[in-house]
Amino acid sequence: MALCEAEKTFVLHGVEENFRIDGREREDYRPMELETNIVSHAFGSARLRLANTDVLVAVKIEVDVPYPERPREGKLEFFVDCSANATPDFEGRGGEDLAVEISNSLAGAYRSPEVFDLTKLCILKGRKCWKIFVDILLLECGGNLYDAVSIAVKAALWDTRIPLVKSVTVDGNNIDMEVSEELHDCQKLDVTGAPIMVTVCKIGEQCIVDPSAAEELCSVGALVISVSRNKFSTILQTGSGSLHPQTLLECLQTGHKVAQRLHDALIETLVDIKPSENSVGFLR
Amino acid sequence: MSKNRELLSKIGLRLDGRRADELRRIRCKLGVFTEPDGSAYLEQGLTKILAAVYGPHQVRGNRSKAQHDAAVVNCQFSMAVFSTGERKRRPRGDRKSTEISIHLRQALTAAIKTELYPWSQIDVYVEVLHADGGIYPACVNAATLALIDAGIPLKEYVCACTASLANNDVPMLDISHQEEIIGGPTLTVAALPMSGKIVLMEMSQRFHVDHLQKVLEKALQGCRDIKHILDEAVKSHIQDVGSSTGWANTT
Amino acid sequence: MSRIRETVITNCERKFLMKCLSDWTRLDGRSFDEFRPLRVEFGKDWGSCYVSLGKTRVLAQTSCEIQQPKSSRPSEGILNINIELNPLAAPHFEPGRQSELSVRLNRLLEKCVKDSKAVDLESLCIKTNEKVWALRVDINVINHEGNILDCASIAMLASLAHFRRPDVTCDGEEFIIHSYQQRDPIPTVIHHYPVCITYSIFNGGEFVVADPSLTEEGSADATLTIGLNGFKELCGLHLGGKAELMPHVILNTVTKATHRANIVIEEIKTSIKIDNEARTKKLPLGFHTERKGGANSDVSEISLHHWQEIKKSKKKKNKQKPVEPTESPQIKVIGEGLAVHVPQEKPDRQESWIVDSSDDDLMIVEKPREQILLHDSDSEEENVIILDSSQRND
Repeated sequence: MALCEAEKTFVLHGVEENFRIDGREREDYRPMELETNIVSHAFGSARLRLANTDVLVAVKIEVDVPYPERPREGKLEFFVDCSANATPDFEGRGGEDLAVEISNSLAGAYRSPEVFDLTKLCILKGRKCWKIFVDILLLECGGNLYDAVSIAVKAALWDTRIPLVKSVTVDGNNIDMEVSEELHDCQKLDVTGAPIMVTVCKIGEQCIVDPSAAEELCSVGALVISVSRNKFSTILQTGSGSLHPQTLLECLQTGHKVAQRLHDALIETLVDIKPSENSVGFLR
Repeated sequence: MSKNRELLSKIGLRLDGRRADELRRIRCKLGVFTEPDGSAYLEQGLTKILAAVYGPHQVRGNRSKAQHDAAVVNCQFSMAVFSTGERKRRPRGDRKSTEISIHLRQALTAAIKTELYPWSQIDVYVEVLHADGGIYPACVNAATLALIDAGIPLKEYVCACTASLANNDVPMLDISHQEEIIGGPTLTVAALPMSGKIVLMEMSQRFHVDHLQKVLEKALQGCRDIKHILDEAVKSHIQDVGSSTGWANTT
Repeated sequence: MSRIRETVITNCERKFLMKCLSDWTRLDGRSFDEFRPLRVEFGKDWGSCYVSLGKTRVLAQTSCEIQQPKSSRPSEGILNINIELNPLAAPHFEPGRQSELSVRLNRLLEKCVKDSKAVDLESLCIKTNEKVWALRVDINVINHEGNILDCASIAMLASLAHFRRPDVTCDGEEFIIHSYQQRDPIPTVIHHYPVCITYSIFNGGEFVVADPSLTEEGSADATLTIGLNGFKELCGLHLGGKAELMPHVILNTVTKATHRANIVIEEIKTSIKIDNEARTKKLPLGFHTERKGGANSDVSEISLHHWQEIKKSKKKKNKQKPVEPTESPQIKVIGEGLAVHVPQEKPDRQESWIVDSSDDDLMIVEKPREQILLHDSDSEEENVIILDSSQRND
């Protein structure tokens, strides 16, 4: 996608007037559709469609050995795959750079123990723990990937059910685990602290949230702010431009405010989703 | 793994309750995405496939690939890491995915009127979201729908189907993952169902040569059945799209 | 890095080929259902096998090592097949890189042998969940003159059937791998012998040509590869290329292939038998030994081009070296533009001119310096216990 000068000016003026090309105001999000539990092979899954951005997240769980330096903690791993369905540029290994960037920023945002408590994933200290794979599949890119991914990941983790370990018997080197056979015997993860990322995009003199693909092209730089509960978890500056300290503060304030709103809306939606509902997926 | 589980019970039902010549339920939707020129989503049983088509456009990357008399068809098959029971390490790049990409290109090239687009390229990307047997046929069927959605001229639908042999006698249609594991031989056929021409054929495991004819016929029958289902889907999609622009009379 | 492009088949060649086919002849004078001469030879090591099909040559070597089994199949051994297309075979092959062709060939071979369960993997298990034998067949294409697949499948199968792994015993905790001298090595259990048979299809099924040469392969609409074993069972089938075929063409071709499969399997079995007999008699082994009574040593094919050269050289030869005309080889004219060169039985094999000697053994025959005895502790085979530890884990 490429924009000509005139188009860029048009976008810029729209932002200036607080009336963006799709009619939104500067702090408005595009419509979102969220669906959970749509991948039956996974322990938890979610699909988020933010206008044209489409993200599918599935959570898989394996039993693993904890890191020797952190024997009381489980493991959490993010893997992003940019599907060539999104754009032909992602063919082969073309999407790898973007994928690594997103998965690294997610790993960073989830690193703090206040954000996501890994000790709950420990089964037997130093010997056994759960390893959570969060696999993210980007199916369509319509701007604002970070926000979409973070919301989808949060929803998928919310949906995740970890099997209940009934008993662990240690016999020398052998560890036997008895996992409950009951389908409903499972524990859920606490995701209230899971960070939400908000991309605040600087266009001209103004800052906007949820940039569309066209708006992303017009911006000189963006700030990806991840907010967990009331605190900032990580802040990442992308793009080539620089930010004035004053602008930075304004961005942070905007991001914080928006993230709070998003978090509340998301939790409200997730509680509302009925688990028994038949999944519709892509057939809608 | 020769477990004594029968692929076909005495009363003629399979493990998932189907009859021998019954397809799994196929549900599909055209135009799931806006960014690609054509896209489709197809469910065949539990196997779920997303396909996207870009093009025809200028040849990307290595220009020497361009052909003066036909379009280059480029296919990439990839499987989401969570699509199988055990988590996959890589979504693509292994031998099986490369093989499916090659086979996909073969089947689609046979159906696309490539001679209409010299010096250009058509990209077909297929993503497996859930693998439950018969991945390749489902990919071909999904890709056909995506090509139709993209408006690329085809000679006719290209459909693919698997067939197997139960109890060394009865041919079965559309093999599920469970049946693949138990060890029925699998014959995969991609065909142009209207003219009855075979564009790709592939087989794994083994059965006696004498059975080939009936298994092949069964697979071709499957291709024809699938064609009808896809045709219905395309017609209803066109009607939906057409009605929103106001030319069709939807009552 | 510049790479050598594949030689394209020109339109002239293609047209000429098609014209020949419509006259029911082939460029090398074979009939449509005729295969090129097949030859299977074994090297000194177990599982080392050299197969030539016409001018296509393939070398296969089976090796083994002990591995942990896959968690999904704890009581089964592992079989890896790897085909290597290096520039030795054809200049456009890139070394070390997986090309589309190599992936396709590899998958077909895997399907033929692995999916049809020809090798008894359970017999390769040493201890469930802990140790199994992992067999690995490395197939190197030495010369590419069309139809690598048939040649490779024969080489792979012969190599597997010929291979013997060292015996292993377990005394409680430890596993002992016995050297070939301590205990007789164990052959691999093979349930059935699946081989690939390839046909090229021209003109949408009008002409179906067995065992295509390089030119035929390149200009064909499609290739149909049929995996078959001795019990007339299909073990893999692949239709590649850009043809649209009617089902009856495929069915007819498959029927034709069954006959050929038996011949090939018989050839593999007899070759192994001859080799085993030679081993028990402690005859010299290996590729350097001359194989007596080779099936194809008496008739070597020559192309039209050579025939003309021979005519010329004959005249020259008479001037240079007076040779009795009665001793010169005969050239049988089979048909229009076709000839077969039949060398006369000569005890010392002195030939004053070189024919296209694809099937004549021109290897220098050395007198074996020492006889290698199988159970001799001094023999070179003692240090074969370390089994290709450098191999890549797939």
